[in-house]
Parts: sequence; structure tokens; C-alpha cells
Amino acid sequence: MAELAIFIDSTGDLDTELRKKYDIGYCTMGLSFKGKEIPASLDWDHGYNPHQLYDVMREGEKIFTSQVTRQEFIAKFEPELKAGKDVLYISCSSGLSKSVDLARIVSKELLEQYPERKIAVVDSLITGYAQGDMAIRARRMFEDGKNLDEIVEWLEANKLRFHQWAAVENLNYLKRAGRVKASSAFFGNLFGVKPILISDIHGNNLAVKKVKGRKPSLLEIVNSTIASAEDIENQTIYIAHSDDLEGAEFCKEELLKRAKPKHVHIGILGPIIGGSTGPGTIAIYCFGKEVTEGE
Amino acid sequence: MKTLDGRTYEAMIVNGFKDLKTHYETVNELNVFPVPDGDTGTNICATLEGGVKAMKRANKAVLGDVVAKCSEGMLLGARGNSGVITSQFFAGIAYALQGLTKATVRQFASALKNGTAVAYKAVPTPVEGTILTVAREGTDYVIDHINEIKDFETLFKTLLEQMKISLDRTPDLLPVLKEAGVIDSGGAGLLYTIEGMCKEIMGEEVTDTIFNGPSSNIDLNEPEAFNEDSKLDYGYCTEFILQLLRSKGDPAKVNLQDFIDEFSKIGDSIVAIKQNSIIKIHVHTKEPWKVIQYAQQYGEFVTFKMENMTIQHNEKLLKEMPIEGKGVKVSSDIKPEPLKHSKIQVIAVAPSPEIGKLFKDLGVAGIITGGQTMNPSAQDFVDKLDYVNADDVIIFPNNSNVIMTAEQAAGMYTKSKVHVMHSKSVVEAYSAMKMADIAGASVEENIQIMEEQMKSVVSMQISKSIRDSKNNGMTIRKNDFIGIMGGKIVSHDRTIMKAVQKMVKNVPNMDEKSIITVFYGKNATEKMKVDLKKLLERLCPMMDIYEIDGGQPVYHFTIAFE
Repeated sequence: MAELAIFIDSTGDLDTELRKKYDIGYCTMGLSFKGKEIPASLDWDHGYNPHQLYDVMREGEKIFTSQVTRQEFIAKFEPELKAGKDVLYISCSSGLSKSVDLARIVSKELLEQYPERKIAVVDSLITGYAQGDMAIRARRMFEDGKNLDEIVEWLEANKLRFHQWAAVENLNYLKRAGRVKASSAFFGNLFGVKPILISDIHGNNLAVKKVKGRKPSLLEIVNSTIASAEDIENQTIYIAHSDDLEGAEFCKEELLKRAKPKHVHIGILGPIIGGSTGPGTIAIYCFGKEVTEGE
Repeated sequence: MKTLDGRTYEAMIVNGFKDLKTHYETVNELNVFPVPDGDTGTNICATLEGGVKAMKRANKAVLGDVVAKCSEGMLLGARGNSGVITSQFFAGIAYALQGLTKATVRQFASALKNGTAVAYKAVPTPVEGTILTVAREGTDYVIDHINEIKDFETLFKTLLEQMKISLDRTPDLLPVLKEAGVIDSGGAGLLYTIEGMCKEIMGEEVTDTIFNGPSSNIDLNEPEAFNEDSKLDYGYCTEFILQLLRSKGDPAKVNLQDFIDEFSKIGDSIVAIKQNSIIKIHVHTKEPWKVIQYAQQYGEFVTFKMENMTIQHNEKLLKEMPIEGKGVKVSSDIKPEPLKHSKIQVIAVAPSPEIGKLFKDLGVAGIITGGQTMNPSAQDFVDKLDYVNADDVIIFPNNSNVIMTAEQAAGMYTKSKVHVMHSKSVVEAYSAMKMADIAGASVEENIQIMEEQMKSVVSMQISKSIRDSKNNGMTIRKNDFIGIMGGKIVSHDRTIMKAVQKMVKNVPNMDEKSIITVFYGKNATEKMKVDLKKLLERLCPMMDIYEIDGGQPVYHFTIAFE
């Protein structure tokens, strides 16, 4: 069986250490602001650390994001194919980015040049550490002897079991970026009311609830995570934040008071997700019951 | 006089209205709270005015028709709790005299008793020592002594005497009156009305006075002459008639609302009227040149009058001005086009244009400007219900004195299912609307969410005492700042920050609160705003503080704890 190269992209959020540990690569998206274009690096080696990037947003600067380019896909996939590896790309939700469509086109072209090889593209229908978790699980399956087809089959069958529970400061950034679905009741200046966002069955960020106050909103996502997780004792719960470590630590503490997950990983929301949601976002990701319409 | 006919009844009501008009400010001053928001006289006056106007359409030859029209007009014109109760009292009389051409003394006496019964029914939990007591004790006495009463002269003299005795006793029945050293204002309003009616029968003159409508609450207790050290506190009362000119654009296309919107930015108390190519404007502003500049784009002035309202002389001027009080009152014969029909809409009463705008942002479709000192009438609610045009309409009053009026309107309205929330301040509507989902959730779900929010929010208000007073066991001096929470004065101090500090200590379940929203009132100075923010940050370090320029009258600060 051929070796397997696994890729996510800039919305997959896995930090350097986790990507290294599970041998996961990523296709880079782009960020632009203040007239500059920089790669959306998950290693934060583009000249801005997370705090600096969110400060740019706090100053009111608009951040534009761009999808993975054709050249980037070729630059990442071709060397693996050349080296005799198959490629699995677990993409950002098609509800939020068109990278997955381009990946499919590029893959077809590459396969004409490398007909012996396989490239599988899976639309994760989610982002963040849930997308990253899919890649980690894929790596483990591969190590357990599963082949690419079996892995893809599992991912397709189970991708709606990955949950996102996010508490954001407000929907203004997401709305500006066109990356949220919410009724009008979620907009306007709601003074202290925090929207809760899930990733719905179409992979959109859907505002499902309003919670009054920052702390109650964090407790809400902790409780929702516990309610939607299955077999929490045997999984890693990922808590990601955009420049609010304190909030993430609070969630971890409250989570551990109420449940016994195998492990809790606190990480940073990557530049694309963070650049869309704005500072002060906390998102918790878990694996559990299948997400249903209008959850 | 042995029988009462329609013409006489009309003349009596008109005279009752005149008598109260002469005394309504005295009635307004009978306020339990030493804040300049007394409005009972204004409200009952406006209620009677509704009746007086409606009677013009009545068949004067038939008493039953005159009383019915009068009652209809009062029910729609009713403002404030005392106004609602007064309208119900006269509705009860009308019901009992239905179909009669004339009434005998006995028939009228039993109609009075029915008036009392209907008024009591209008109040969910009747309180003694109020207008209800005055109505009941007066009418009961008449019924008990009906054998000695042979004519209408005696009936009304007796009724008036007994009501007077009853009114003087109200402080014995209602401790809050006794403490504040006042008699009940609603009862006093009813008494003046009955007095005027009585005088008509006796052939006594009642002086007529201009009724100014809901009064201005500008504090002119200590007016000063305007000198080199003066500050322009109240701006200029600016009035003009503008002839729209074709050379400056099509007069027909000039939109009155644009004038109102523009002048709302720089002034208040706006009255705007457009008749063909003439525009008449009244506005209070500190920047009259902006008014002139704006208006002259469209035409030239026929007349122009401007007076400095800070000068003592203008106290009189303000009072004589036949205008509505604060806020924007648009005089226009054209009703606004109703909104497209929808499932659920919300109406809220806002005390200032700023808060009206906030409500609009939160999804409130129908804004009624009003509240303290300018209670909306049942008719205002009916008009707004027509405008929002929905299957279910949720109404947020902003004052306990507005709830009954809203309920009266709801009871009369048939085109929508109307739900009146029992909100007593803007804060409750604000808190409820933030969490509601008007377009997305059912009316039941929305009401449940709203009621939960209203229950958990704590609102407090800060104002300045206009006289020495006692309330809730506290002796309050004139110019003390007072903190009001849950309908009670809970703190007072010479300095505003200490009054706030003492009040914050009274917030129940403070450890469950995480958001503070401050609505800065019209009277809040920049220094007060800065000081308050610092104080709240110190007292409540873990909470998020949001500031809103509410522009509300009477209250320097309205603070919500959620």
C-alpha cells in the first residue's frame, strides 16, 4: 500500500506541533489587509502573531481572505505524487470556501499526469479543529491499516458527527465577510448579547442562539458540547480561541467540572477563521451524534 | 332641574373639562415622587378633551347618544391610569343611560353608581385612597340619600361635597400619600371635573384656559435673568411659517418628514404642519441658525419668531404655547401607510427619539414617543396597531401609568391579537427585545423569552428632587439626587454619584448579573457620564458596561443590570 500524504488547509487550524505529530500538511490560503498580502500561515510566521493580527482587526481594519490557489495545490500535491504517495485533502467547508471545487479540478489534472496515484478530496463541511481532527483520525486509521478508500468512506459517513460550538462577541465581522447565516434578530447592536454558532449540515456558520453575557455564553457552549458529544471519555476536546486564552481556560475548567474527556487541547483559531470571526471568539469542537437540520 | 337632557349633559362635560383645564397643573403637582413627572391633571384633561370633541357628533336631542359619544371619545382619548379610570367611569354612566332621551335624578344616580362599578372593574387590583375611592364614596352617598335628593342641583352639590371629603381622606387610606404630604391626584382630577359639571347646573361661570396638552417638564422653579454669566440652558423657542417657493423646487415634493428628521438632530418639541405650499414649524433648539439655513433651501419666511427659553419671562411663554410637550409631535391629516401585513410585530413606547431609534434597531416596528409627562392615549395605540398591521402585536409600555391605556386600546382593537407586556421602564423592553426573535420564533415563544428577560433585568433611575419630600421612610430635600428602583425611592444624596453608589448596593442577585447598560438622560452632563462609568467600573469590576445616549427626560441615568 502506498504511503499517504494528508492535507488540510488554512482553516484546519492544527498548530505546528499537532501537524508534525500526525504528519499532516496544509494548503495555504491568503490574507490581505492594509494593502498587504500575506499567506495565512498556521505557524504564524508571516510577521504577525495572533495578538498582533487581532489588534489589526480591533483597530477596525478589514481583513480579506482568499481561497487556496491552483499553484498552491500543485505545489503541495505534486511532490507527494512524484514521491509515490497518495493524497488525501480534507478541505474547508464548501459552505464557506470554494477551495474544495478547485482542488477537485486540480486533482483531475494531476491524475492525468500521475495515473498510478490516487487523490481523494473530502469536503469536511466544517472548519477549525474539527476539520483538523478529521485529518488526525484519518492518519490514525491509516496507521491502523485502513486504505484510502476506507478512510474516505468513513469520513463521508461520519463528517456530520463533528460539532462546532462557538461563542462570538458579535456577528459584525462574520457578516462583513459574508460567512454567517442568521435571522435579523441576531444583528444590530445587541449590547452584551453573544450569538452561538454551529456548523450546520450544509457547512454554514449558523447562529442558533443568543445568550446574554460573556460568561453565560461560554457556559452555554461547554454544556452544548457535553450534550452533543458521544463517548467523551475517549476523545480529545479541542478549544480554540482568538486572542482570549483566559476564556478558553475558563471553558476547559468548566468542561472538566462537568465531564471527563480523555484530553482537552487548547489552541489558537487560525488566521482565516479568526480573521472572519474577529477577536474574542471561543470555539469548542467535539465528535458525537450526527448534526441535524436546524440544530 | 328634574330631568337631564343631552344638551345639558354636553354643557356639563364641557364645563368639567374647562374647570380641570384651569387646575390641571395643581393636579400635576400632587405627585408622590418629587420629580418633575407629575401628569395626572394633564392626562385626565386629555381624556375629557376626547369626550368633548366626540360629543360634537352626537344627536343632542337624545341623552343616550350624547353620553355614548362622550364615552367613546374618552375611551380613545384616555391617557395614564387616572385617565383610563375616568374614561371607564363615564363609560359606566353611558351604559346605564343607554337609549334614554332624558334622565331622572334616580336614573342618573344609579348611572353614577354603575360608573363606579365599571371603573373598579378596569383595575386588576383596586387600591383605596385613590380616584376609585373618591368615585365610590361620592356615588354611594348619593345612592344612600337618594330619597332626600329631589333635583340635579342637590345631586351634584351632594356628590361634590362628599367627593371632597373623600379626597381629603385619601392620605389616611394610602400611606405613600401621607408620607409625601399630598392628596390623591387622580381623585383631585375627578373632583375638578365634577365641580365644573356642578357649576354648569348652578349657572356659575367657569373660567376657560388654554389647555397646553402634555406639559413641558423643563424645570423653571428657579428661573434666572439672562446676563453675561448665563449659559444657554434651554435653547430658543423657534417658530416660523415658510412659504415654499417654486423657484427652489416643487413645493408638492417637499417632504415634511425631512424637516422633522433634520430638526430632530438639533432640537426637540417639534410641531410640524404642512398645508399645500405652507410649512409651519415649531422647534426648541440651541442652534437656530441651522433651522433657518435648512428651511431657506425650500422657501422664504412669512413670519419668524424666536425667543430665549432660559429667560424667566419665557416660563409663561412656554406654558402658553399651545403645543405638545417633549418629543416629536407631527400634526398631519395623513395617516402613515400601514406596513405590509406580517405575523408578529412589536410596538414600544420610547421617551426620546434616541431610544426610539434604539428600539427600531432591535426590531420594534411601531414606536410611540411618550412616557413620563406625556403619556400616550388609547387612540395613539390604536393608530400604531393599524400601522404595524400584524396578526399578533406585542406592546411594551415604558411606565406603569401607560399599561392600563395600552390594555384599554387592546380591548377595543379587533384587527390583531394584542399582547400588552407589563413593562414599567424602557429597560425592560430593551432587555426583552435583545433576546427576542420576532421573525423567527412564534408569538408564544417570544413572549416567554421576553417575560423571562423582563423578570431578570433590574432597572434603576436617577433623578433630582424638585421639592422637600418623604418617601419610603426617607426624608428627601429639594435638589437631592434620588435613586428609584422597583417603583420606590431607594437612595438619596446631595451628590449624584453617592446616590448611585447607595442604589447599586440594593441590586438583588448582583452576582448573577454580567451586563450593565447605562442610558444617559438629557440632563446628564459629560462629567456625570465620565464619573458614572468610573464608579460602575469600580463597583462592578467583572461586568461589561455599555453606554447609550438615551436622551430621556426627567432621569439623568437609567441603568440596567442584566
